[in-house]
Amino acid sequence: MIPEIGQILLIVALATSLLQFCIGIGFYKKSIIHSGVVYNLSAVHSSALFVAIICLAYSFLTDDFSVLYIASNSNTNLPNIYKISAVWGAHEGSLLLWIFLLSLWGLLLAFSRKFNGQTEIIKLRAVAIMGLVSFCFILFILYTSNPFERLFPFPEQGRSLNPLLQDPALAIHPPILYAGYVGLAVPFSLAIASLVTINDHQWAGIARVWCITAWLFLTGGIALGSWWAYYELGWGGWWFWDPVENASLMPWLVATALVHSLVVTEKQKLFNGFSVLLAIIAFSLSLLGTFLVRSGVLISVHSFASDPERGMFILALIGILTGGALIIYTMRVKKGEKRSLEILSRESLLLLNNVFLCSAAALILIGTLYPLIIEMLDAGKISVGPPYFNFVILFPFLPLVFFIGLGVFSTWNSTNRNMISSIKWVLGLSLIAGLVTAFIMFDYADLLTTIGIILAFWTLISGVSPIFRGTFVFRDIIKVLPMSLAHIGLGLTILGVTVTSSYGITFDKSLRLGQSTKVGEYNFKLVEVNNSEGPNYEAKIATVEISLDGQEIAIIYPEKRIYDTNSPSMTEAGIESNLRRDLFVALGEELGGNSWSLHLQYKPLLRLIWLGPLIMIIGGLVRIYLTKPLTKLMS
Amino acid sequence: MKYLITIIFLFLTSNSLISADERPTTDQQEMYQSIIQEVRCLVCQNQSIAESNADLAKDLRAQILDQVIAGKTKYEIKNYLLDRYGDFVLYQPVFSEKTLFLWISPIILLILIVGWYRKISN
Amino acid sequence: MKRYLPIIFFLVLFISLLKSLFQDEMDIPSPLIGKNMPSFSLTRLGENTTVTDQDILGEVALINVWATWCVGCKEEHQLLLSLAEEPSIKLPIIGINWKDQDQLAIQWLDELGNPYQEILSDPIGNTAIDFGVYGAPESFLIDRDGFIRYKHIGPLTLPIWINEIQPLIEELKQ
Repeated sequence: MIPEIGQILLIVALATSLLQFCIGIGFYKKSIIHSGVVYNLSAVHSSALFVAIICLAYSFLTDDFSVLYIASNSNTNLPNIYKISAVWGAHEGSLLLWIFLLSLWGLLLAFSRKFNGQTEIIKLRAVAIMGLVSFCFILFILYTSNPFERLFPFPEQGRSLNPLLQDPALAIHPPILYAGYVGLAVPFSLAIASLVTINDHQWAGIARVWCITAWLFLTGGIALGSWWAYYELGWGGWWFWDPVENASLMPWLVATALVHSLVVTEKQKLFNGFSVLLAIIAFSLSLLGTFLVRSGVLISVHSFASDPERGMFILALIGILTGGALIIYTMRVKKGEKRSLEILSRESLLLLNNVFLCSAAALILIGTLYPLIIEMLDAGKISVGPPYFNFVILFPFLPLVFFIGLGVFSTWNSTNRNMISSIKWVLGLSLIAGLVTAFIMFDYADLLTTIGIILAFWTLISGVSPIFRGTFVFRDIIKVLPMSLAHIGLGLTILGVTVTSSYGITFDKSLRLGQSTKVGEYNFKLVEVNNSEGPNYEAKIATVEISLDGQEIAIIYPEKRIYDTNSPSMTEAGIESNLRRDLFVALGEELGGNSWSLHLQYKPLLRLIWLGPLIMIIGGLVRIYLTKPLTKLMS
Repeated sequence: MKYLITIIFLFLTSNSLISADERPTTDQQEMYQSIIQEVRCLVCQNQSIAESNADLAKDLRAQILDQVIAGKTKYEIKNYLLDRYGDFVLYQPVFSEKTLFLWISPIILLILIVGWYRKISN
Repeated sequence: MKRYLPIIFFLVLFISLLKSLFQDEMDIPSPLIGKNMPSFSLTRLGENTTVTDQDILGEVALINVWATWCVGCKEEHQLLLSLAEEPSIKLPIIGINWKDQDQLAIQWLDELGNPYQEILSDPIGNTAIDFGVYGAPESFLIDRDGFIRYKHIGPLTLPIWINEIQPLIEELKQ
């Protein structure tokens, strides 16, 4: 019964989203009068989807194996928290989560502040377009990926959730990431709504906060994914340039560009066309990512069950939404006013930075799609992986990071004369800090490492300096704090990435019980290996003692789990971590004579890689929640 | 008798007395680690052979370790794999006419950006 | 004019993705096609004698990599038996038993039949690596001079035999 209610609610959601679009876009005359109806429809729409998810979760918790999705992804031994997370653990359910979050964004947009005149019409039309996006996706679900589909005859026991997903991170990574992906639909919708209404720069002021919020979620989602991969996948890597990782990074880069472009459009009334285009591209990359992951054209560790029919549908969806958006763009975008830009003015540098960000996204797109294109041209099969991306990404990133530092000191409309002296300071400090870190703290550094560390400090120090420039007026600090925090976060990430890549130590070693080995300065001793059991698995747990200079600093317990005979064994790594370094052990094969193969890693400053995004997120939150109220308070 | 037992004992524990030739040096470990991360597992195609638990991955890892210890260069080992499995097996695309555009695109992009920037700021 | 760039780029991308959806899943192409088969020296299954690549030269032959743990090998076994038993098809089939145990393999062949003119043991798998094998079963067609002319990944099926291998054998025997 419950799954049928869920099914009906999906149809209700389909209907409400269609109405939301039609009425909002003005198929009914004088749509502005009916704006209340449209906004209320979005509330009904969200509620329907919310209850639908509850229905699915309920079916999971009650082990209803007559539902195909539940039989495929759960079983009675699965702990309850994973039964709930399994709602979005596979294709159909994750799509349900996707459209629910999309509807939430629409709801928030609908009930956000009321504007006057034409601006309110832009908002209304944006809500309508969100309705169209929802409509397309719900059609997709109902036709090809229905989570409530029944299974007959139904089995006594389900297949269970992929062991890799039986982890707390499953509870938070997809929701946060998806919130970011679908959040980009808001600036997308606002941009198109603006194009078909007054077609000027005003939408930028509205869109900016929405864009930052979506960007926040995307940042968090990507960082969570990286962190999860690190401790779950058992090999100590944190970014693999896997197609799905790329599918999240590309919209993030473009969203970052969009945030910066919207600043210029809002404050200087420039680059409106570019901002609109970025808004369209950002969400389109989200859609493209969805296509790549669910159509089966690319092999990825994240691939959901692939199906060309689903691929066709998503592609059609992209055709309608992105194609439609670009057609409207081509027809309606105004030629930018021919204004010459001062070479080192803020608008000029922001534009340059955006170009680098978009180039990075473009390079990632080329690399990700290249194997596909080669296969299509019958030219064989190739792989494009980390060696390529790690090399190629430096081309836009290195200049980008350099110009970020310049941009921080720039002013609007003119080249800042004071900039040169400020920059000299920062450059000097960065060079000193960089060289000290590289050569004194770590003993040696090759050219790339040195450049990386210097650039990290360059970003950090330039990020911090606006706080200390000028008067220490709280109001002024709050104004620059978001940007400072975001750039500081970036600097930390760059430092973490550079140091861990250059100075990390990795190797495999077979140890007998009681034997130890050195990893850098640390001593790892394999004490013993015991058998153990979990709710739905059997495990071998090793005890590894780590000591430094004879003093024991930690004991960690890497595990090898067997969930069932059909799946390969899972490694749960033993990790000892603090901000300065991570010590990582993964349990490998049991060799003869009581010895085991261990995968050992020493990773300095690894945690900075995720601390950075956290600081960026705080910066974004300050911008959304604190800036306006606090500056009002101060004045 | 004690002498005999000692000899047998030493013989049995000589597992740890493997000649230095069969254990990789630190540099060799580094090269080995960096190579196996660049080789795609053909069975579980979304993993490198470093991470994969597939039998083929284990076999290839062992083969590569042997070759590293025997003194082969990275280039030689990569060619060994390419000769047998083709371009697909390496994560770094071989530079050829097929991948020309792939490898040149960052440079082209940079040139375009520089050219465009100079145009708009004049 | 610049305004048309995004939509044009999108169209190109869209069509490429559309085309890729209709692409058949391609096997990994073998770089050994047209090259000399790799040299090897393996023992016969259950015996002490060795067979090398030189011993196989002189005839068009099919090398079949198989194992008792491989499900697909059971599937193609019937076809291999009929190829071996059919008198008009003079195609020696040479089996390479991959990463297996001799006793298990002998038992398997006793139960299911033996289509092989020769069976070689590759328990460690180094020869299979030389052949670029990544999953069993895989079959290689070699010509008289020992060049690999065709490779099939997965169980051999009748359509593959009729459409791909048989015509090629005709060609090679001339």
